[in-house]
Amino acid sequence: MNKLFVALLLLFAFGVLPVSAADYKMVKPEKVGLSSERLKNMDRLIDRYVAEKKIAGAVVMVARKGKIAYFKETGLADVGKPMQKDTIFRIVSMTKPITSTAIMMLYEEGKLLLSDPVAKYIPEFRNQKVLVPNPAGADFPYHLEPVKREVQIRDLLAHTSGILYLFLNDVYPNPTRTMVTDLYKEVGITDGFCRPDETIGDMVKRLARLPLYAHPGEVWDYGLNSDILGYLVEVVSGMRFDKFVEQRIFKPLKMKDSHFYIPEEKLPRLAAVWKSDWKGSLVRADDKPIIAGDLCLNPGDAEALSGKYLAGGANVLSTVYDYFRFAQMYLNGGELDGVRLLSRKTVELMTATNHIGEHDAEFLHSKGWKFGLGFAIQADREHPVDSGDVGTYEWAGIYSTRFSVDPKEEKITIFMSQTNPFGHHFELWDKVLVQSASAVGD
Amino acid sequence: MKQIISKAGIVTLSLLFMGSLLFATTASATGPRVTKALFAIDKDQVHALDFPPFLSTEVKGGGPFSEIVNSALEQAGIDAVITTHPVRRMVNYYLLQENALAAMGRHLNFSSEARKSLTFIPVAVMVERFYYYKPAYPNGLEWSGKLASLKGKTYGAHKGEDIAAFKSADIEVKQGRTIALLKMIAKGEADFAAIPALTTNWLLDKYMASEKGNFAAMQRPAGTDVMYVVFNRKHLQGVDDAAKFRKALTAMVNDGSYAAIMKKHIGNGEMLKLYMGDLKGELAK
Repeated sequence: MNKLFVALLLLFAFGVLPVSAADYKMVKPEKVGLSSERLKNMDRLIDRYVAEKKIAGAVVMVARKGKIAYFKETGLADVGKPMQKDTIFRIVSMTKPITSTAIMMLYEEGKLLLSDPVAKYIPEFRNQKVLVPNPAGADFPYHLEPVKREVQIRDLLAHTSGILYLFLNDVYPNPTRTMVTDLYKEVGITDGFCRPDETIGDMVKRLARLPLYAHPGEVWDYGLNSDILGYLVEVVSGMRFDKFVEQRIFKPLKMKDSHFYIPEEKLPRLAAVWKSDWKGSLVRADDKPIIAGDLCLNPGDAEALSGKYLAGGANVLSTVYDYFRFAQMYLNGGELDGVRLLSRKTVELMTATNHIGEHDAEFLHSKGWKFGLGFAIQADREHPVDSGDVGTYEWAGIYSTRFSVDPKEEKITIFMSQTNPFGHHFELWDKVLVQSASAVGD
Repeated sequence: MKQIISKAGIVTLSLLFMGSLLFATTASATGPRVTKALFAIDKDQVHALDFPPFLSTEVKGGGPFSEIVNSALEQAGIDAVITTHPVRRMVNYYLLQENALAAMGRHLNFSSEARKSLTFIPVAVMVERFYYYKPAYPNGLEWSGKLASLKGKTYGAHKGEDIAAFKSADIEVKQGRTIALLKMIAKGEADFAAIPALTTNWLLDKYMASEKGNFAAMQRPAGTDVMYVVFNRKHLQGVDDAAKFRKALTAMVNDGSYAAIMKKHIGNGEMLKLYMGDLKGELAK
């Protein structure tokens, strides 16, 4: 009778309780040197932003020493649908570190070198030119000069290739950038946030034959580099990029809710995108593209169950918990739960080294941030975020998602919302990181 | 082992092995041939605009026009390579700003001033058809041979295409690459566009396969389009090479090698006739 009771109890526990709750394995913050009391400031912060209708909702996680100490959902995922811990988000540019991981796995397997010219694998990158503006009054607005050296794989990982994003025209207006991106537009190159109906290889082969904005290695400029890397994974591995990532990264790391295209049964868990003016006007975006200058975002793309375009810089849908597992793998030096994706030395190379020389990775941050092979890396204290340590690495997504890994404190912070425009969110993201850092109590 | 091969046998085998190495070395010296552009970026260049499936890096062997031009260049003794670009502006840039030997493509559209220093040699005469979207015109769409019969509609034009006749017929014009035009037509943003049938089929198969059955061509041809190789007289060899190229191409048309290349790529059916217009006549002009 007792055995039957225990069996029924176990069945009840595993059958009725959400599987996710059982999997999350949270600990009291104090067990990992965080203050429960201070983490209430995080609650207050997010509650306030939701109450003020700046955002509809968010999921926030703080993990330390491999344990989840704070994991909270707030507000709405969609109209009439509360945010859940397992809500699925468009993580957009947080796809990039995943793509970098795939490349570094191939690097460890001896399939490529970071110093390899990209043209070795994608011949269209041969004989590239750089667009140089002519002086005012010249017959023609620009001339093209041969690259001083070819674009290497490391340039794509570190965004030093001279390849651009179109949407940054509005952030960094300058005539040379416009001349280059006008050519992008003319041949149908997009940022991939409004997903085109073609393969990534077709896009990359056209892009490779257009002029660069600058000589490789001479600028840091956030661009379509990870999309090229995604195609490079296909060329080098012989596998479709999504299949490679699913089999080699998502499956081993048990990132069960991470996808390039969402399975139909998970559609109800997909968060809606909300348009916010940051002053209290908050409207659920419809599924039409949101166009602002050269930025095109299509929230509806995330509802597609299949498609050809596999953007290494933008495609993935994921959850806070899945991304925590990915980030924890990095924090552990390339391994999680006995599964090793990368060696400690490779993780050190990617995360603790300045790969961009005297340049600063200024798009997400300000000065004081460098770029590794897939992440921005905090290099000093000369930046507007008051939290974190030198060596902290992080990146974000354009629908308002952000992650930060602080190796010194063994701490991971992840924030996910789905709000447009992204420009307002830097302040909130930074405050989240401040709350996370100030909860450290040991 | 000693029981099987004698000492003399070992010596013979060694000599044979060494001989085979010598032959192997000779063979690899004439081994795989790679495009000269790989090693010689300073070679004379023919800058070409992508035009699949006739002229494109996405087509095996570069397509029929690529093979024809390469053959004519070789027979004329012109040491030049074809480099294709996805955008017309880059082709024009290389020809006019960097004084490349030649350019090649449709709708390159040069100013009257620029044309003074260019020599146009026709390489293909093609029939084009107006394509439209059947769901938008369930009863079909036709034209009478006069553009006025399409008044009020929107035409999808390639950049550089001469659109004066459409404008004067009160036809609105929107511009884009060929694939963009097909997408515009499917979205109802344009009503029709003039595209060669093979190009339409190739692009629909590659990018819009599910929509292929929704596109149809008007019965009456839109007209013929001539594709040129445009030699640059400002290039040191431009004048001489243009003459040599014309002579070589004319010989290819006369001896049937031009037609043989076209047949190899396109087949010998009805489709071939669309791209085998009166090139001899054009060359004689």
